[in-house]
Amino acid sequence: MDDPAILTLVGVGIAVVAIATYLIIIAMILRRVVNRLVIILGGVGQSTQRSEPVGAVIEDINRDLDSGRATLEACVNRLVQRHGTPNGDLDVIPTAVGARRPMVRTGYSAASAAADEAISKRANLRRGNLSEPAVPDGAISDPPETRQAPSRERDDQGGDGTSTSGGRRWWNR
Amino acid sequence: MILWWIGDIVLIVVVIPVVVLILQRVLQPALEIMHYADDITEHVVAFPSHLDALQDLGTTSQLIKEVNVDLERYARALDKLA
Repeated sequence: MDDPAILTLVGVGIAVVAIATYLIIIAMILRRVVNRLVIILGGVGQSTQRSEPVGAVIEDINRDLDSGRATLEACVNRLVQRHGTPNGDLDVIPTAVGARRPMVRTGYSAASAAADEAISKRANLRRGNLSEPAVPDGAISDPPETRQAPSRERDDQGGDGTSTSGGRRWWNR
Repeated sequence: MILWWIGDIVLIVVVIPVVVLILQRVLQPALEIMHYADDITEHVVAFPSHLDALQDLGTTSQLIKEVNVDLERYARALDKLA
């Protein structure tokens, strides 16, 4: 056999082996993928089956909650109609989360506000906010230097915190 | 004979590398698909356990019904008192 013929055979043999190897590898990968897809399909089907009645149950829960809210609201309205309001005023408090319309509170007097504040304070304590803020929100405290002013310098001034010479504040010196 | 040699050289230098290149380009996406499938399977297998709490929704619904009944009783009692 000639040399070129042997070389041709070797070349074709290499090409065939390469193609066969790659095809076998790809077939194995596809088989594995199919197995995985079967598992995924089973899991998705199971999840769908388990979560199927959720919509109806949640609708049921929402309906019951709405009914309870309506019952309470009707009760409050009846009580207000029977007894009236202490002050006759009508305050609208902010809408609760998820409420469909603003809650109307009648007779929201200073006593009611104080009671609400006490309730919220107690709720904060229950949540773990044991320490009350030293400075209420929105209040601006004086700089610490103003609270602990040296008495010597204070004596030098006219008592109103301004220096007698130069017109500058004593704490800015 | 010379043409045969040229043909052999073309086969070894051009054809076989091109075949390998094409097969490599087929194999690469297949490998990626396999990794994605493995990843998805891992998550899908763990997913149904997160749905266990859905079984408690029935209990929640039942409890809310009971609360509603008690709420109505409370409202009636309040009406009688006031």
